[in-house]
Amino acid sequence: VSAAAAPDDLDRLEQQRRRTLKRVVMALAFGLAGFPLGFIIGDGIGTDAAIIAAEGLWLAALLSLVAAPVMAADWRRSVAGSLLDATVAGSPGLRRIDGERAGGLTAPDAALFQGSGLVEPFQTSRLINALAGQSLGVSFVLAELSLYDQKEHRVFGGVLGSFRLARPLPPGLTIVTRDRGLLGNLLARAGSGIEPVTLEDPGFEGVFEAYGTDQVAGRVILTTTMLGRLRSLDELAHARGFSCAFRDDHLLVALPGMRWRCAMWRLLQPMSAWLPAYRDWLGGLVELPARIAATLDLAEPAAAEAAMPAMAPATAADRRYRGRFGRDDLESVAAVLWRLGGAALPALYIAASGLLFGGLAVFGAWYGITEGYSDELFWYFWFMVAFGLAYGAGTIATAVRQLLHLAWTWNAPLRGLSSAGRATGKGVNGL
Amino acid sequence: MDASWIWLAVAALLLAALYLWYATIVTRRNKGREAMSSVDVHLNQRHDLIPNIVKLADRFMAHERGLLEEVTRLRQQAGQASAMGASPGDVAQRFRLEGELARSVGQLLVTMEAYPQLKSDATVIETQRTWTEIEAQITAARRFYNAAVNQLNNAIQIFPGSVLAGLAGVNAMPFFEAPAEARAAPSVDAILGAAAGRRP
Repeated sequence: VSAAAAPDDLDRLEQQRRRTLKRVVMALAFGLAGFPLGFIIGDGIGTDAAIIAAEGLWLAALLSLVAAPVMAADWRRSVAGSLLDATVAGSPGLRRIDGERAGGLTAPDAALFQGSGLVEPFQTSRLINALAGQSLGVSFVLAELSLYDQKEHRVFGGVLGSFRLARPLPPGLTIVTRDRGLLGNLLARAGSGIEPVTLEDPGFEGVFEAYGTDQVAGRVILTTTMLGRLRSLDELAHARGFSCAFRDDHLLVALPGMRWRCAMWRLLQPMSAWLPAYRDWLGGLVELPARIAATLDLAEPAAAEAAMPAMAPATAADRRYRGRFGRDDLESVAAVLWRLGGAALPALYIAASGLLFGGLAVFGAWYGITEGYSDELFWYFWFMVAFGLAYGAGTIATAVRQLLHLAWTWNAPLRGLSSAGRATGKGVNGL
Repeated sequence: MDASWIWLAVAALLLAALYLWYATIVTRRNKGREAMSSVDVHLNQRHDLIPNIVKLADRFMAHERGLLEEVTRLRQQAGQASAMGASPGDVAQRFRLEGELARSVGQLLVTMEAYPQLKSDATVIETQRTWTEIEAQITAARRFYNAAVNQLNNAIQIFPGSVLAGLAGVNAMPFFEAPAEARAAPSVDAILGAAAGRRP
């Protein structure tokens, strides 16, 4: 599917990059220079008009600082979009959905992932890009998206894929996730009703851990042949780090951390240095649904007889981009910090308040016991002490409960599952 | 500290460890029973399907009477065996009969392939598809059962599990193994030769 970069296309993209870079640099420069300049004007001249001008300058500088990353993000979206469109144009039966242009479009099939054990419970989704269509007779949606909980904290960022299978699956939910070691696996499913499915393949179990709501149904799906196929899929380009679930008539795939847009710092590098590899990577991505369908033998028999896509091994471009599109980039780290701050800071604030007033109450109680209060103020002080102690104990208990809840739900999609394979708990109401 | 307290603590720890081991044995025995009931469900599905296969085959395969009778006899014996006790000996006997039954029905299905009237019959095709599905489920149930039995046997055959199992009345369970014929690599010549030999 991938095509060589046409020279005029490369020139156009390179011009776009330079233009964007120039604007970003100007915005940053103005943003950084605007503040000291505002001080110089405001303090130096000292008139009312100068102060108003300085305030205007600060506001403009602030807007410039905000605009710079927005412009860079828009450039990333534009490059990925135009390359994906060009690649998809050569693949009949495949279309790209631009989630950001569509504005508030719900990610296709996102609700299928609710309670699938692949992602944490979520309330809303923000679609960035999606590839949808049919491959080897299998309908699929592959979506680059972010999922958010009730408090608008991001709980997942990456790519989710759903494949409607031609053949029905046994009832129940079967999940294949990454192996986290003995203790990690125990913690990952602590509190859930779902059970591990012990398989007879040490090679598979060294990489994956399988869970299921029905031990027999899980083994009907995870035959020794399927275990081999899943291991092959893990080796396939783009698919490293995947986890999947078989549910009803769908295969659900999660690729956390995968991002189709290029890294922000690529803005600093000439397009000719990285565009061909990036284009190849995206081209391989468009082939990914067909590769998954072929590798797992999901195709309808009639479609399977048609030409299968070549099972291309990981290329240098794959390795290069797979490394870049990890979950340790700035955007992911910021999302984690935002969620941690948003969920933990209120708890810490409550705890600090409880410690302050509870501490004062303890001191008051100690003073009352050792020194004693006057008769007029006796009941008043002891009432305040009792109130302070109750407030301190209550708020600290609330804060501890909130922190424990955060630790319990953090990156633990399996914990919310019941033995019937359905999500439990608040805020899990599908889309 | 008084030495008796230390001995008391050691004894308490020992008792707790023994109780945990005992609880593990009982849990694994129950898991084995759960797995056995799964196997039962799917074997019953197999038993229910066999009369249909025999009836279909009987229409065109009158001279395969010996094979049809063998299938019917084995199904009856396997059905009787399922009503027997749950002792390891009874279970092993039942698995042996089920293995023979699966082999015979498999042989019958291969023989049916040689009859064009049967091979193209929609009911036969549907029956064969159902048979394949049930066999896949039996294979899965067998894997579940064997995994449960493996864990149970490990718990009760390692000391002091052997003593605790005796106290709890738990015995080692037999594995549900595939018949020897299924484990052997199939011979294309043998299959084609047998089919060609029976072709009317």
